[in-house]
Amino acid sequence: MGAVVSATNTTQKYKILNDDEKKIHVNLGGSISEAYNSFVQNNAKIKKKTK
Amino acid sequence: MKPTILLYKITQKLKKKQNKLTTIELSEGNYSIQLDNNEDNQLHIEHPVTITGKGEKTVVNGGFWIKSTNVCVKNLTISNSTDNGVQGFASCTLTNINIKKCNHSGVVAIGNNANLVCENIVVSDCNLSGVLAEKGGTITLKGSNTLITKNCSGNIYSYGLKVSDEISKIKLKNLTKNISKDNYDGRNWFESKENQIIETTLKVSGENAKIKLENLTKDISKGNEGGRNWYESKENQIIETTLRF
Repeated sequence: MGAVVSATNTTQKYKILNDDEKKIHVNLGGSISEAYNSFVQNNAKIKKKTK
Repeated sequence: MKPTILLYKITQKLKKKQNKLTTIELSEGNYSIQLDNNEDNQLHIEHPVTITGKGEKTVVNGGFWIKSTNVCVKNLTISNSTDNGVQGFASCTLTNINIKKCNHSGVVAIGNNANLVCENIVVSDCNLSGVLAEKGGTITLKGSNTLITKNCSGNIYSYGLKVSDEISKIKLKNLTKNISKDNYDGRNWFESKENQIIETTLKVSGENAKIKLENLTKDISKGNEGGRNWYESKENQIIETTLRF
């Protein structure tokens, strides 16, 4: 089951891969800052759920 | 709570923890880090993460401020940072990174918690120092592709390798200071006092190599400069055989 919630942004420049990969892939033209923020938010969400 | 329920809850927790993201992966191409309020294009990394590219053709225009432990940046080029290329305040690793054309220095370790391990990095054409350790920071350089060159045109206080105070260090594993060359005005290295840039010159190079000492101990190597009497890439590569028949 994919526990990682999809957070693909509106411009489709980055995507969170399934939970086997455990990574955010940023395509050309994507924003590293957005990807990093999404990365942090995603992990914070998981941390919150595990409390 | 019943033990079976407790066990189930712990297992679920572990499963969810394992689902945490670990990596940001960049394709080949150019990426920009947006300017912040100070007009700097720096990404502030405050959580453990691996940022990996597809080699030197993955180019990040901007720099990284690393404030968290367990951060790894690898397989990419860092270019045109308005500040330093990488500024580390914690333990982190940089592997296969080209850092070039930064407005300040290439790689900087600041503070006692800063322990940067850099393997096969090339730092070139940065205005200030190539690799700089200060305020207790430590930088370890290793890997035969390491090169620090054509930096330091911005001011006379900058060097290819610079240890700016007495409590900081740059360690060179299986390397010599000559990895820093052709920097502006011949300013290839600077130490505030002797032996702050530490070359490990007696060593086993590579994880599959060995030095065997028959009926001897490592103590046969002594009195070498800076106390650097032996070095192993991993444990037990210099083998003392002290009992023989």
